[in-house]
Amino acid sequence: MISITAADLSGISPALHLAVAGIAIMLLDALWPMRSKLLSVWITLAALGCSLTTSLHRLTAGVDVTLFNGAVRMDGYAHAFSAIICLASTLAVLSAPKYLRLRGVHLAEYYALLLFSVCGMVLFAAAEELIMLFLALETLSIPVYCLVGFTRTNVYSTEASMKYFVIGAFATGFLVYGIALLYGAAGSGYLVDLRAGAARAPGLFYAGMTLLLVGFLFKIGAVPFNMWTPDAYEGAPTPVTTFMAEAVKAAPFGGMIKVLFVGFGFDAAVGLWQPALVVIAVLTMTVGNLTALVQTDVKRMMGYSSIAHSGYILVGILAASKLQSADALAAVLYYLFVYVLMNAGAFGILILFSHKDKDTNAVEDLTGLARERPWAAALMAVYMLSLTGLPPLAGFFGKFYIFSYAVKAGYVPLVIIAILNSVVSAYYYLKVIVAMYFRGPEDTGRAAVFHYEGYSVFLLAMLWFTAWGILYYGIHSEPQLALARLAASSLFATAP
Amino acid sequence: MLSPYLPILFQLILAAGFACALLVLTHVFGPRRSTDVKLSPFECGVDLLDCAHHRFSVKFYLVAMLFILFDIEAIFFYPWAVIFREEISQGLLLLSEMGTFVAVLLVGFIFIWRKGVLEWA
Repeated sequence: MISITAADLSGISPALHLAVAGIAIMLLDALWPMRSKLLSVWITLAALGCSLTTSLHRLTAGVDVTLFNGAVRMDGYAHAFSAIICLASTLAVLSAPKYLRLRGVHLAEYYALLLFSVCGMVLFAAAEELIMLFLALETLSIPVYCLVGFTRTNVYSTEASMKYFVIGAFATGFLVYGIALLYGAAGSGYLVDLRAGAARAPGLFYAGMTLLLVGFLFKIGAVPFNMWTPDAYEGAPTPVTTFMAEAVKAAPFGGMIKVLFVGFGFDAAVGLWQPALVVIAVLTMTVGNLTALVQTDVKRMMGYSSIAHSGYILVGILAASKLQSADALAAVLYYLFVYVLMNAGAFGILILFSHKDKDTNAVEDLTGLARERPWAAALMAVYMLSLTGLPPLAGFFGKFYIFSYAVKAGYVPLVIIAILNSVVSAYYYLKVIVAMYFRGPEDTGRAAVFHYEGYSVFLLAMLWFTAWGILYYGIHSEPQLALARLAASSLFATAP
Repeated sequence: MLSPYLPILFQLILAAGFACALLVLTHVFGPRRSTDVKLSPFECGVDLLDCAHHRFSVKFYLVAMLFILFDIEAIFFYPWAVIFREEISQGLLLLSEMGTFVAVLLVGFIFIWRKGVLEWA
């Protein structure tokens, strides 16, 4: 008979910690609403910390278990994604209390929703079966729709939430349709069995593969499925944007890479996804960067920049699939890790100077920051330069590894386009630095005020940690790369 | 050839007969207190013939949503009950699994109850 054993439960403990903590926060808030706010921040951080350490420990110990009758597999790959996502979510949680308190929506539900979403993300990279994949994706998406509309009296926030929900549901439709067709072609929902469908019912298989890919590309915000990104990023409360830009961005890659590598494989017969992804990667990088050039709002600009970064990551995925080497895939994981740090920091600075009645979102709002708050300006400069990809910051090494493996794989034109795009992106990242350092109130005609309203130790800790991480993990990337290699090789062990 | 479907035919007749009988019986024996609301085809708290862009309380959605939620969760009890009979040797395990499910459900219920969702006013 089918039964859940203790081994199953201990195997998914990184996800289970989060779900239990989320439920505990809801109960706490219902029974003891007076004290639940600050307590739930601590519970959330503790749960994320537990999951992070468990995942890292199991990753280094080489734990590889198949659970729930093969529906979930907690191997090095799943543990690595779990660690990246838990780190990303911790950074997002640290930036939340200050902003939410200023907006008067510091509610315990925020942390419960966030934890449920993270639980789905952890399972998403671990899913070995299409229904499990779908369930995990919905578990990770639905709380985020709510979080985007968390400042519910704010019309932009509700609009963003509605837009994101409708488009997200639409994307899910594609995904489910793809799953149904693939199941029809392969006669099995397990990823390892999918490839057999290409010979049995090619029409169904390729239609299913296309639809499934469309669903994934929606989630990662690749062109031409990117239109929700800037609106959702701009309208969402800034801590939620932080969460979306790092955790919600990284998580879909976990499931996507697994489906592509383990499910579809690299044979020419079923590897039609590779040329399709080349076109999508070029479009994603170029459109993302070119549209970001004209943005005046930092949150919106970061939305387009996140689209562009999805393009770079796709280049890394393509290189890994061509070389079929764990090293190349490790570069993608390392890039995701670095990307999480850079984004958390950049949004953190916006939160740092957000006031009760007004967000600090426009590039113009940062004018003259360096004169009044030199440290904050220096941190922001580090994040922006790292996003541009300037050595010796971590962003440079992330790009460097991805591009060098892409060259090795023979994707030279793709790399040239990617590097040209990086050069273009320097314009809008440096625009922020120019505003902070080389312009003052005399240029904009209005005095900017940079006082900290609602001091938060959590936020400051997050900012310093991310800046330190960008400086340190760039030069000392070897331990991170070794962990990523461990994770990547466990995925290639199952891939054809 | 169609004989396996005979019970379905009987069930259809029975269902139709039962429904008709109930309608006739209430018509004959039931008291009649006609008010405007009672005479409307659907009694749902909203004017039937009105502007489509009419605003109405979000409570309707909330109650409907919670109803569906708990309704769907109640449906999970059925397959569980069927399997329980078949796998009675593992009864304690199955009971504990359903206990976990109900506990999670209970947290949800405590949450909406303490948050005052169930109070209409």
